[in-house]
Amino acid sequence: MNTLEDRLREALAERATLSPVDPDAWDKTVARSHRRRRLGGRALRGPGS
Amino acid sequence: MSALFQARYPELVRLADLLGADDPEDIAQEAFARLIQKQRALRDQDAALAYVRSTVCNLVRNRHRHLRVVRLRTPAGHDEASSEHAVMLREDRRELLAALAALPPRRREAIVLRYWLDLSEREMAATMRVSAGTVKSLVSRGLDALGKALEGKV
Repeated sequence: MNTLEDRLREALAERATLSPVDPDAWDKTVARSHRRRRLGGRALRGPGS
Repeated sequence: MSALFQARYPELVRLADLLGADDPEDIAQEAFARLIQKQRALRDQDAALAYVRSTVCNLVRNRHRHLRVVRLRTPAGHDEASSEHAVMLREDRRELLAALAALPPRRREAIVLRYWLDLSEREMAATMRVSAGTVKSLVSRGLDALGKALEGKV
């Protein structure tokens, strides 16, 4: 029987593979950083800002 | 910056997802947008990576705080055990991840940083901005809580 730590590693690794990644993420991030700069470092939107 | 983004963006999205963010890409993009503005102040690539990881953790924590307030008015929130991604996992892993999602945010962060990213205690302390002793305690308490939550289930 695997230890809890082994099981955690396996479950997290498998779950992580299910996260989709946007191919346009870099362009969106650069645009967001430009918006932030225009506002003097404040986020226009986004969590935890 | 582009190279760091290409190399690490997927990892940061996954980190936000494993920490329970409702929009992991938004969190990762916001963290990198802040890094772009801050990069000149950071001494090297390692410091940049630590900064962006730490920002992801903070943003997810703040987002959870915000959603807790919203859910006081509108119940029915994100449930790891029944999320569209979770249903694709084996039942024992689904139960384990549901128990992880029920942990207090700092313990969940510590478990994910340790057992998914394989960070050292020093790296975890820098990411979470706490002492190494606190990191040890958070991991230990997180494992205890997970063990208790799973007793009799697996």
